[in-house]
Amino acid sequence: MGTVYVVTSGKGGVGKTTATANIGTGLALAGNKVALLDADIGLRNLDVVMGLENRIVYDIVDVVRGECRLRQALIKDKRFDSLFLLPAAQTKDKTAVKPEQMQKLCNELKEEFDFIIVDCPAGIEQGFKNAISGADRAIVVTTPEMSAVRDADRIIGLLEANDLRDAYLIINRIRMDMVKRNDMLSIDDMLDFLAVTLLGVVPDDEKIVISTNRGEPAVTDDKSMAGKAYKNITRRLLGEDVPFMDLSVDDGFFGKLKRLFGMGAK
Amino acid sequence: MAKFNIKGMRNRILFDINDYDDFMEAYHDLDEQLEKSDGFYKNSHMKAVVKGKELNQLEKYKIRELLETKYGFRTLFIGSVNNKKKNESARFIHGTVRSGQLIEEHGHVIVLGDTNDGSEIKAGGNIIIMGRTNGLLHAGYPNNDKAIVAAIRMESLQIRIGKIISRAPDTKRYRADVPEIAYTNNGKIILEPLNPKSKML
Repeated sequence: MGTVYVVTSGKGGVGKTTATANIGTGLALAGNKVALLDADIGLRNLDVVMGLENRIVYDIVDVVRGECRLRQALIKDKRFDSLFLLPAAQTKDKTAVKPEQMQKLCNELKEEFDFIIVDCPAGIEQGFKNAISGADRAIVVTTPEMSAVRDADRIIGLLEANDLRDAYLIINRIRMDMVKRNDMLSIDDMLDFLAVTLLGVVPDDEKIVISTNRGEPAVTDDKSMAGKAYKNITRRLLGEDVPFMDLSVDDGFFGKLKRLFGMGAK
Repeated sequence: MAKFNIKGMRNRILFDINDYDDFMEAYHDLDEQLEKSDGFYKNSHMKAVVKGKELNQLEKYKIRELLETKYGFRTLFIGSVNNKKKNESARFIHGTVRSGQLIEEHGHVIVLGDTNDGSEIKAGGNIIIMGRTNGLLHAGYPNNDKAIVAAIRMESLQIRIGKIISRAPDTKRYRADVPEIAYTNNGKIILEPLNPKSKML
């Protein structure tokens, strides 16, 4: 029996789709049977990020309306045999699916897959309500900005009201150099405010832009810091106790020399 | 026959469903009656006050949704009937009050935790927060300016007591160092460190 994780945030553009793609791919890399579900009907993105946009024949609305079987709509990933994607519809909108239908779909997927990751749309309306209706656990994504954190807090409150307690938190796009200069919220500030379990911290990384455009999740790139962070997140989801990466800025040879002589930043 | 009252007041409408024992009956009668009004209230953003016997959170939510989403009201207050004697009951809330949560009580409210920015607490009595406050706090609602607000770290952007509103200074991130108490004096809200020598106590 698999577990359904919903990746949500409230605020748009903080990295839900990227997180869904990378966590899903990471779990498949580790040998699990994974299904990714794009619940952002009308504004689908997960297919692009996974590089599978040219293989879409059926989508989630077709499945829910009985126009095809679930098996027919699931797209096998280009790279991993145990990773599948159920794409969203682009020509419909969020009223095309009801929470009960979503629940039934998730239950069906649970029988075949170890992990089902649902990419939730931004907002707190119908799309959100649909996406959380089949979930067992929630992963909340936020960036270190007051507006994103406040929205994350709202979402956590709504999740708790819907019996999805003990949410996990991913802090995305952090820049430790800015945190050190006090120009960006620190991890402790955010945990203090949100009071949930930290699942991972992902640094701001150009390679994410490249990976999204190419349709190759960063977790497959060994040179990407963000990819490494997502790998660690995957391991923590599988029960491993992985220490958080040291994201401190590397200030080079002269920086180290300065510190040796007691000058410069610590 | 409908058992509820609609009363027009100064700048709002009062829906009194206190005579109902069954919530769903009250809900349906209200819906039926408002249906007849033929969209009169739609987009009016009229303020509505609802009074009824002990309503739980779900019931309050349903009424709010009915009035706001279906009929275009702006609900102001949903609570149980005000008895003639002063309501000294207190409601305890365990844990953080999150953004978007609305707590309304006729008596006092005590929070064993923080209140986050975007949350609202409206109490007829006093508000005590055993934590850090960032959300809106409105004590002495609607017009008792003898009420007080006290918190371990009072960092709310706005505090209201009775009809008086006061806002935090515009400096970047207001941080409190000691427990503070807010009360009114001469139509203004005063914020003081909470200590035994305080005049307020």
